[in-house]
Amino acid sequence: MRVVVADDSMLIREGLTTLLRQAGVTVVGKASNSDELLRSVALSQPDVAVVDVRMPPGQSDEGVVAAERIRDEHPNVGVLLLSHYVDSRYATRLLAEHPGRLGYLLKERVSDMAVLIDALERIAAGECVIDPTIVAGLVKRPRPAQALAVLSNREREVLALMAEGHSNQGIAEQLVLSGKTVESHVRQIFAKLDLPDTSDQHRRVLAVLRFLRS
Amino acid sequence: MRAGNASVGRYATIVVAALAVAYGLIAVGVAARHGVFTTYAGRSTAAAAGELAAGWMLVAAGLAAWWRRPRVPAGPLAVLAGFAWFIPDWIGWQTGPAAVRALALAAQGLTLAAVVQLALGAPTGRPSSALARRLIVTTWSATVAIAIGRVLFYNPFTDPACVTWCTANPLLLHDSQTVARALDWADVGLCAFVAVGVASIGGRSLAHATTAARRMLLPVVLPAALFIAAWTVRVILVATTPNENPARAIAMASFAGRAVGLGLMALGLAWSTGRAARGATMTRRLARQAAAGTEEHSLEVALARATGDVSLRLAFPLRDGGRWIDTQGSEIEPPQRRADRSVTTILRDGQTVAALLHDPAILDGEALRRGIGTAAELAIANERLRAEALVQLREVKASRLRLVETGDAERRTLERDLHDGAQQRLVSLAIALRMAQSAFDEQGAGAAGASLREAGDRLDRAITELRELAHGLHPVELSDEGLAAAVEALAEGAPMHLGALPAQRLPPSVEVAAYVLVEEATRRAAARERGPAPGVQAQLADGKLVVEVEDRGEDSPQRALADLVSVVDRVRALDGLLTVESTSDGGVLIRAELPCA
Repeated sequence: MRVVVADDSMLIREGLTTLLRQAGVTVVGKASNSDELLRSVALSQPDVAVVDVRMPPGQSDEGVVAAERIRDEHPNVGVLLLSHYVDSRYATRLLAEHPGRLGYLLKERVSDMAVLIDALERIAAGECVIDPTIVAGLVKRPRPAQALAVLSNREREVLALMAEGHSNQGIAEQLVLSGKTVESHVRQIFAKLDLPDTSDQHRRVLAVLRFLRS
Repeated sequence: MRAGNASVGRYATIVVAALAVAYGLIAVGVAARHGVFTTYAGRSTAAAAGELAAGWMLVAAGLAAWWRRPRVPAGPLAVLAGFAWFIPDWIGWQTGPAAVRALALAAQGLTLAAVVQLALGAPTGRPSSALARRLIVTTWSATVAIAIGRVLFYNPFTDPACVTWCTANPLLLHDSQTVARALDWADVGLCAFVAVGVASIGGRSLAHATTAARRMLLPVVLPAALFIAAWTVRVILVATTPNENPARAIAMASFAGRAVGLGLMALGLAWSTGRAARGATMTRRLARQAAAGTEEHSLEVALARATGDVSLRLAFPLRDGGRWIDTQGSEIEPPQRRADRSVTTILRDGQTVAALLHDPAILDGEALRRGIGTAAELAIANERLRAEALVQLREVKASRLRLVETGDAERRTLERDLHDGAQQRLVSLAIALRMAQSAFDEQGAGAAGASLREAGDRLDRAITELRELAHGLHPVELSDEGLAAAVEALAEGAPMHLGALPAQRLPPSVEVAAYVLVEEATRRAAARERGPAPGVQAQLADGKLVVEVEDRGEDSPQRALADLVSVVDRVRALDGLLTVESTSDGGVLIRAELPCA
C-alpha cells in the first residue's frame, strides 16, 4: 500500500507518517498544501492520498477541492479526507461526482490505526468509506417519526453500515450474518424506504446518504 | 400675528360696509338730483355706476385688509380713500347746505393723499424707506394746509369763475380770490410733486424688489399712478379754466381715469392682502390639524399646500451639531441659500430648530416666518421629534445588525481558533501517544519515554491555548469577582494607570460592557506601542456606572469613536451613552454612562 500524506501541521504530518510506516504502509510523499499534494500525487501515483480538509491558504475546504482534482485527473488514486467537521456535506458532494475510491473520516481517527488502515484498504479496493460517527449522527437526526420506524433494528444496523460504505460482504462480516441474509435485508430496506434499487455499490451509498440527509 | 377680529370686530366690519353702501347710494342720488351740471355722477349713469363701483371696491378691499392685517394702515387708508372718493358729489350739491359744500370743497384732496400713501407704502401702507415716508408726510401736510386755506380764504360766491353753483362759505375768515387762486396752483404743484415722487420712488423700489415683492407692489402702484395722473389733469383743469365742467370731454376722461385707477387699486390691494394673509391661513390650518391630531399628510406637505410652494422642504438640525436631516430622518446637506431657494430658519429660544427651504419667488421668507405662529412651531417641533425618532430607529437598526455581525465574526474566529489551535494540538497529542504506545510495545518502556515527553509538552501547549482562548471569550475574574478584579487582571497584561474602580458587583451586562470598553480602549493604546499609557477609572454615581478612559496618545475623537463602534452598540443596547471628547492636553476622553437599574 502506497500513500501520500497531506496536512499543513508538521506535527500531525510527521506523526501520521511514522504511525503509517509502523503499520506497514509505504508513505511515498508528504505535502503541506494543495499544490504540493497534487504534484506529489502526479509524481508517485499512490494508491490513496490522505488529505486534511483544511489547508492553507484559506483554511477552509482546500482539501476537498484538491480531492476532486485528484479523482478527476487520477482515477486510480483514491482519496481519504480527514475532516474536523462532523458533517456529511463534503462526503455527499464528492460521492455524487466521483463515486468510489473515496473516504471521509474524522480527524481524530488518525490515532486509531486499525480504523485508518481498514479505511485505506477499502478505498484502495475501490470502495468508499464514511465515518461511523457521521453516519450515526445522520441516523439519529430528527426526522418525521415514521421514516425509519418501518425498519427493524437489524435493518437499521444494515442501513448504517451501507451508509458507511460497506459492501454486502463487509456487512455480513461485521454483523456475523450470511451473505444471503444481508442481501435480503438490503432488498427489504430499499423497498421499505422506496429507494431506487441499484447494484452499483457507490450509487447505493449515495442513495442511502441522501436519504439520511433529507 | 393675532387674528384679525381682535382689532376689527365682525360687526364693526358689517356696519362700515353697510354705511359705505348707503353713503355711496346717497351721494350718487344727491348727484343725480341736485348735481346734474356740477357732478360726473349726476351727469351720466355710467359715471355714477363707475363712481359707485370704484368707491365700494376700495372700501371692500380696505375692510378686507383691515380684517386680515389689523396692525397695518393699508385697510383704514383704503376705507378713508373710498369714502373721500364721493366728496365731489357733495361739492356739486346745488341745493345743499353751504357748510357741507364748503367743507367738501376743502376735503377733496384726501383721496389723493390716501392713494399716495397706499402706493408708496404698498402693500402695507407703511413706507419702507425714509424718502417715501417724507413724501407721504409732505403730501398729507400740503393737503391739510390747502384744505384749511380753502376753508378760510375761498369764497365761491365771489369767485368770478363760479357761474353755476355759487354759494357762500360760512366758515370764511377772509375773502381773498388771490389766495384762492394760489391754492389752486398749490394743488397743481402738489400733484406734480406727488407724481414725480411716486414715479421715482415707486419705480426705484420696484426695480430693486424681489420677484415676490414686485408681485405684491405692482398691482397697487400701477393703478395708483393712473389715478394720480388723472387727478393731476383734474387740478390743472380747475386751476386753468373757469370751473371743472363735467360736460367737457377731457374732464370726464380724467374722471374715468380716476375711477378705473381706484377700482384697479382696490383689486390689487385685495390680491396682495390675500397673499400676505396666506401665512395667517397656514397658521390656522396647521393649528387646526395639530388640535385635531389627525394629520392626513406630513407637515411638509401641509406647508407646501398652505403656501402654494411645492418645492418647500423642511430640514432639522440634529442636536449633536453640524448634521441635518429631512422629515424622513435621512441625513442631508446643511441647507444653503441658492438663487432659486431661500432658507428661512425657525428659531426657538435662540436656537435653530428647523429650516424651511422654499422658492423665494413664491414666498417671502420674512412673511413666512411671521406666518408661522405658535401652533405651527409646535407642529414643527413635533415633526422634528418624529424625524429624530426615525434617525434613532435607523441607528438602532444599524447597531442591531452590527451586534449580530460582530457576534457572527466572533463565532467564526472562535471556531477557527479552536480548530487550528486546540484541536490540532490534541490530534497531534493523540498521534504522539500512539507512537509512544507502539514504541513501548516493540522496544519496551525506555523507548517510549521520548514520545511520552513529547506528548506531555503538546498537552501543556493545548491547555495553555485553551485557557487563553477561554479568557478572551469571557475573563473568569469578571464573572467570579467583578469589574475591579477583571480590570486589575487586564492591567497586568496591558499598560494602564488605574484610578478608582467600583468595589461592589454590578449587573453582569454592565460589567461586561464596562470591561469590553476598557479592554478595547486600552488595546488601541497598546497597539500604538508608543506614547503614554491610558488612564482608566470607573465609578458609580446616581445609579449609573461612569467609565472613563483617558487616552493621551489619540487626538481624534472621531477615529476613536469609529474604532469603538461595537462598544458603542453594547452601551446603547443597555440604554447607556458613550461619548468621546477632546481633552485640554490634546488627548481624548472616552466616557461611558451605564445605567445599573
